[in-house]
Amino acid sequence: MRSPSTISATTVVRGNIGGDGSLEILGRVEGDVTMTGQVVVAADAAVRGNVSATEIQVTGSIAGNLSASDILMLNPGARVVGDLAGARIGIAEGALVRGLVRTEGEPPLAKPAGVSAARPAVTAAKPAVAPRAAFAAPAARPAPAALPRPSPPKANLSATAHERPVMHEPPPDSSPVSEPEHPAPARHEMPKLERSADGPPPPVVPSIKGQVKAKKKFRGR
Amino acid sequence: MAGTVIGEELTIEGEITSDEEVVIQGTVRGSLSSTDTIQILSGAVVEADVTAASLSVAGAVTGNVTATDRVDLQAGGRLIGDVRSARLTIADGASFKGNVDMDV
Repeated sequence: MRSPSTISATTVVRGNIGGDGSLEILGRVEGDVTMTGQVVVAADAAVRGNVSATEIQVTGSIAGNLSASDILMLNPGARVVGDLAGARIGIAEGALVRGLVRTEGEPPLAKPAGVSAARPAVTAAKPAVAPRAAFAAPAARPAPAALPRPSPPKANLSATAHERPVMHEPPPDSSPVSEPEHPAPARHEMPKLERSADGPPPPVVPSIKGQVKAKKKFRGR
Repeated sequence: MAGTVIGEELTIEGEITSDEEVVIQGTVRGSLSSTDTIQILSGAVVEADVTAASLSVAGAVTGNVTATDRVDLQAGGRLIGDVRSARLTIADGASFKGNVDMDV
């Protein structure tokens, strides 16, 4: 037995409401409402959050997206700021809407959620991919640059030095990208960066004697 | 005016405040307060601190309870938490675990 639920005029709910059956909102709800059944938002009611149900009847005000798998009806006096999605949508004269309105016959309950999730996901994905690529590129460079075996630790240091500016300034990204094309100049640049960046700890260099001499020659030039 | 009714199939996670009678048949987690009566019916699950003028419990409540007037723990009711109220009745068949503070 499903008993009708009511949120009365003086009642405020802060949090999410979910369940089966019908829900009548006469008061205020700050949170998402997810029901299988009918949701009625009465004249003086206010909802701040997304509402999804089989049937939604709105006479009050809602700030949030609405999605109904069957009917979404905005009665006179309704004020909605948010997107509407439903198999059938009715907007009566006197109802105010600001948002995207879309009728969709097929399973609409899942779609709006997917759409809303997809939008931030896409925007989030773009920046996420870019930094990863930036990471990958410098990470790949040190590997070939590791030709002189003693230098790997330095190469790593320089690599991290490369990465940091790359992260903050996208433009320099282009110049390092050109480096791997000419491996020889890349080798020269690595030690130069080490000097400027790792001025204080030169003792690290003498630890590996044979290669160090070669490097000293480079530096001398 | 029936006030607020949280039906059997309904779950609220968050804060409920009201100036009218609140009847809980479903599930509430968070906090629940009313300046009027709160009834927690049989089958209801409340995991929240409850504040009301008068409270009757026939369902399961986990949380501290404060009532300005009275608390009635009815047969079949289950209350785990401290009670602060001017008056308290515990019916035969109710379960209760907690401290009572009756403002003596």
